[in-house]
Order: sequence, then C-alpha cells, then structure tokens
Amino acid sequence: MINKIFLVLIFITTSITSCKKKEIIIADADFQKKTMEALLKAKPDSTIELPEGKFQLDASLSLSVNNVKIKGQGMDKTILSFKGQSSGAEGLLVTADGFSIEDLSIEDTKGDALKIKGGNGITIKRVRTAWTGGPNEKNGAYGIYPVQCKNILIEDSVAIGASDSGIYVGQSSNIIVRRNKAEFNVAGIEIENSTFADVYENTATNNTGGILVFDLPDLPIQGGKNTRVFKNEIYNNNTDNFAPKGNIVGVVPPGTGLLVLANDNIEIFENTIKNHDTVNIGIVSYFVTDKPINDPKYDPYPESIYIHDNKISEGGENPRGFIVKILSLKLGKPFPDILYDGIVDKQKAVNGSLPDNMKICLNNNGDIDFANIDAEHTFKDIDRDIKKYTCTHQRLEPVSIAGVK
Amino acid sequence: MCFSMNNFFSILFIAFFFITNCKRENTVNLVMQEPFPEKLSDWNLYIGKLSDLKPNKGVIPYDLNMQLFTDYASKSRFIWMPEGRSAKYKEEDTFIFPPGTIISKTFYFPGESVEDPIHSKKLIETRLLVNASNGWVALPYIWDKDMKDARLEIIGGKQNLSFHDSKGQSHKLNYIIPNTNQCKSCHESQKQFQPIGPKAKNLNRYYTYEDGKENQLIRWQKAGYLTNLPKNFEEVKVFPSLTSNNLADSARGYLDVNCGHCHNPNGMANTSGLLLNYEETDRKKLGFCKTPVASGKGSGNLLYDIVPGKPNESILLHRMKSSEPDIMMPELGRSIIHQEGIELIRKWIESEKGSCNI
Repeated sequence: MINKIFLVLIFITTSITSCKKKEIIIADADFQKKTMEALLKAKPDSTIELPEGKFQLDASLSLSVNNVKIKGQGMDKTILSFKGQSSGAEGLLVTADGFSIEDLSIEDTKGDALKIKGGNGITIKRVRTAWTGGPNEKNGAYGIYPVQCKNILIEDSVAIGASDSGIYVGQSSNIIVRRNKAEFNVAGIEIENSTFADVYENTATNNTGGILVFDLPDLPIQGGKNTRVFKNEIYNNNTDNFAPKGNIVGVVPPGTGLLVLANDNIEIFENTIKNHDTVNIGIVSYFVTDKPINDPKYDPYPESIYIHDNKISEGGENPRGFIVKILSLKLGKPFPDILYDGIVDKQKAVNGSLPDNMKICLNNNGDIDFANIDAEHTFKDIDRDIKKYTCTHQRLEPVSIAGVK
Repeated sequence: MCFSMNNFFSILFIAFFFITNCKRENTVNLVMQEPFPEKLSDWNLYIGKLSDLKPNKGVIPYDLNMQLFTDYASKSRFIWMPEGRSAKYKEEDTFIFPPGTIISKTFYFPGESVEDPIHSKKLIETRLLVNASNGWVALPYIWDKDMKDARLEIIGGKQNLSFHDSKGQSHKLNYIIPNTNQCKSCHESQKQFQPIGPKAKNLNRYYTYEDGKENQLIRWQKAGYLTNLPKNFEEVKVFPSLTSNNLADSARGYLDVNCGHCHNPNGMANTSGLLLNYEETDRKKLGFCKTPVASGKGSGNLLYDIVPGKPNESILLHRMKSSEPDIMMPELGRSIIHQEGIELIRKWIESEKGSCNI
C-alpha cells in the first residue's frame, strides 16, 4: 500500500519536473506584480509568456534564475512602458545564464531598457527598445545592453532613441549582432572592450554615429579585438550628439558612419556606408578624446584594421562636432571618406610607421578619398596618399555560438 | 506486522508532533528550506508582543559602526545561531557563519506624533537573512498596518510615509521595500550570497545589553557565536563612524558601506571600473579624474567621478545629491537624499589635493 503511494508520488514528481514549465501571465491591473512574482519564482528551464497589450510599469523588473525565456506576442503587440518610472533605473535587469527574450518592446525606461550582466548564453530576438519622444539627453543610456557576458546573440531587434547606444555590447566575448535596426540613438550599435564579435546585416541610420567599435581604459575587461563589421547598411547618421557630457560617446562627431577607437584586429567589409556629414569611416586612437590615460595596461592605439570591398559614398560635406572645427580649417571641405588620426605606438613603429601586420589596410573600396590627419602634431602633416595604405590582412574567422546557425 | 508497523508510525508521528510543537512554543523555529514561514512570528525570534522586538533566548541584538543609509529609517538588528554552532572570525570579510544562522533587521520610523515619536513608531519591514540548506536566502517581511505581525512578501512593496527626524524636521517619502532580486543585487558577490554588515571592523564597538555594556565581539564570543577572535584584541580593526575624527577615513568608510557592496572588484557595479570598497588604494579606481563609462545622464554633464578639491564638479557627489531613479546612487535603498552623508563626502573631496588637467 505504502509502496504504491510512493510509486504514484514518484511518478507525479517526475512528470512535473520533466515537462518544461510555461507560465502565462494574464493581462490585468496586477500585471506588474504578477510579472515580477513570476520572475522571482521562475524555475530553471521555464518560459514566462507575456500577453498582448501595452502595460504601464513604474518599477524595474529583474531576473536572476538561469535558463529562463521571456516571450511576448510580438514587438508591436506586447509593450512594457516604463513612462513615469519611479523606482529602479532599468526596465529589465538580468543576472543569469542561458537567458532568452523574444517578441516584445520595452519603452521609455528611466535608465537602460534591457541590461544583462555576467550571463553566459544570451539570446535576444525581435525585441524593440525605444524612447518614444525622439532624441533627448533625458533618454536612458542604453537600449539592449549585455555587459560582461559570453555567447551573445542579438538579432532582428530594434533600438531607438538611446542617449548613449541603442545596441551596446560591453566587456563581453563571442558575440553575434545581426539583422537589427538602430536609429535615432547617439551610437546605433557599439561593441566596446569586447572580443570576437560579428556585426552584420544591420541597418544603422539617423544616429549620431552608426556603428562604433571602441576600447576604453580603466575597465576590468579591456583589450578589445577581433570584430568583423560586414554587410551592414550605414547611412544618414547625422543626428546631433545628444549624449550628456562626460560620456565617451559625447565625443562622437555628428555625421559619423563607422568609428573604430583603439581596437585591434578589425575587419570591415561589404558594407554600404553613405551620406555622413562628417566622415564615413574614422579610425582613431584614444588620444583624440582629450581625456587622461593613467592605465599602464591599456593600449590606446588602433592596429590591424582591414577595410575592404565596401561601397562608400557621399560624405564630409558638413563636418561638425568635437575637435572637428579646428581640423576643418586645415583639411578643407568636404572631409575625405576615411579619416585616420595617424597616431601610432612608437615602440611598435618601424621608421615612424606600423609594421605590415599592424597597419591600417584599405583595399577595393571604390573611388574614395582618405587622409591621415597627423593628429599628434595638430594636423601639421596631413597625408592624403591612399596608396600607402593599400594592402591586405589575413581574413578573420567567423564567430560561432553553439546552436546558432 | 503491517498493523504494528502502522501503530509504530502513528506513535512516532504523535511524538514528533509533540516535539516540534513544543519547540515552536519556546525556542527559535529554524526553517532551512522552502516553504519559508509566511509570518515573522512563526520564526519565534521574539517573545511577547512582536512589535516590541524583545529577543528570544539566544537572539542577540547588535549595531554597526557605519550604516547604510535607507531614508533615515532606524534599524534593529539581531543574530541567532543554532545551539553549538558558531561563526568563524575573518579579519576583513564577512564572518563565515554556520548553517542555520538567522540575521534579522527591522526597519522602522518614529511616528508622526512630534511629542511622542518613539512610542508611536511605525515598523515597516523586517528582512531576514537565513543561512539555509542551499545557502543564504533573503526573506522580506512587511508589517501589517496594526503591527501585530509581518508577512513574507518576496516581491517587496512600497509605502507612503511621513515622519519627524530627531531634529524635528518633517519628511515625506515613498519608501521602497526591495524584492528578493534587489536584495541579491547588493548581497551577491561572484554569485555567492553573503551578509554585508557583520564584519569584525564594523561590529567592533560597545553595545548596551540588558545586563550591561560590552564589546559586541566579546559578547558573541562569550555566547559561543564566534571563534578564532584574535587573542590580542587590539589587532581587530575599528571601522570609522559617520562622525569620526579622521575625515578621509570616515568618508572611505561611508563609501564602503553605502557604495562598496556593488562597487568592488566582484560586485554588480564592477562594470563601471569605479571601486569604492574600503580596501581599494588606486586613486583612479576610487574615481579621482576617472571618466564615467555607462552613466548616461548620471554624469550630470560633468567630466570626472571625483575632481579633487571640487565637489561640485564631481559626478560622485552629483549622484548622491539626486533622488531621480536613473541618476541617484546608490540605485536602491533610498528615495530621499542623505544630507549628512553628502556633507561628509563634500568636505572630503574639498580636502583632497590635485587636479584633473592633462
């Protein structure tokens, strides 16, 4: 008798634990409370499904359970609006591995919309983050924001209106950012202090700067390298810089298509980059930020940058922004398509220029113009000879994430 | 056989029931796994009228040299450990507490009555940290309006409050009770949940117990709650208080307790590169002439976290002076500003020499 009861009990327990749990939240006035409760009580390997509708929330949501998926009914159907948020800075803050989020929008958060810290295996699909009042320095800093994560996929998502970056991947490794759209942010897409990233088939338009690949000092993880930026549509990124002062993206000149700052081993190819008021592509060292460096471990120079087979057109007609004013006196208008600050690490340089494997290489980008602006000597010896930079590097390996085709 | 077996079971069951029931009446009721008690009273940490917080046997009250600011709430702290178990002393870090340790912290405000703020005091929440079977858990209990009991509410809550502080000044605020994830965001370091307050240097002070005044660490040792306390007691460091004589030490202590739980090499805010734990010695990491990284409008259009000699140009102070969710620091635990903390940090930055010019 007892044995039988035990058997039944065991059977019930196994059948409960073996089927994947799925909790469906009902759309009512208690939405915020119920959603937060579901996130707190979530079991690993479960899905929390959010209903169709626009929901007003006044406090951050957060998740710290591994392997949970949050699923809405579509980015135009399930909208979490944080307008008038009174507590917590983020919309959703995740500190867990194996996190997945799909098919919803996060709007008008006080601070960052979707922040994920320290997770391994992050999947973001068809998520929209937006500040609905247009570019404004009062908007939150980041839209989609994984930091110190590994194995990140961000695809088919949309980021609008961030006062720093729409899609920002920081201090992370093994990253795929593809088929997203970023518009009206200060930086459309930014890969910062990260290694092994593929950024492709995205559209970046109407930002201050379209796509940025940065490496900054004084952070626990630095040494950004191995990023491929390819097959993106980068155009009309001419929105005035609305980042609050003090933030590094505040130095990005309005009208910048693609900017590489102090990062190494970057391959930029088969992109369409056009209609940028200041410059289509910039390659600069950290020194142009005019900020002090006292970090002995930091490498402020961009090295091994390979730019090839891009379609680059129309740019530099109306250069403006940080340092650009002085430069334009020397350089005249229009600015060239590709600008290089020309500052190199003297310890690595041979006869004043970088050895072949560290050079800036430009190849087969059509009829474009170029300038090394000699920023170190306040633009004294501007060199427009593109032939010196016509060379090739070894191609970078594609990024692969287990289970991602 | 079967019959006698059943009989045996029922006797056992009855005996068990009596034992546990008996235990519930008198001693602390330790629960080591879910479901955790729905009511604070179920833990038996207190005897008599619950809101008087009169500790049960073995429940020891304590205080800290430097406290986290939470909207001027007063806090009553207690600790309890199972019989025969004790914490192990650590010089710098949180003690190693035995399984079954319960830490209780009750947040309350003086009442609205100016004449008698103490007796009209309002208990808001009691947070229990329990070193349970799978490690520490945070359990927020919210007090009922009639203050007869407090109920477990893992999603936290919000309460509109008004009170008069010790100087008679009135405050109105929207007090936020954190949910269990928010508890984690401060208490978790490298995915390990830890108590923050009970470190040697912060406990090293006198407390007036019912039977007289005594150093807290000595009292814990005598109660069997602490082992490995250095024989030479002078070796034990003392954490500064808000008003200690050494300005820089006070400031660093204040920043440690109010910011260092996230801003440390393993904390939630290590992504910023700003490290405010007491042990940090690198001035750049402490914020001197350090540019912000992901602060958004938290920067307040200022360039550096701390500009020595110039508090008004320092982002650190700017964020302490705000109570906007996306600007204020710390992000959690307060909804109004801490005037005394701001004054301390202002004076400290003012006293620092140097400049951030390149």
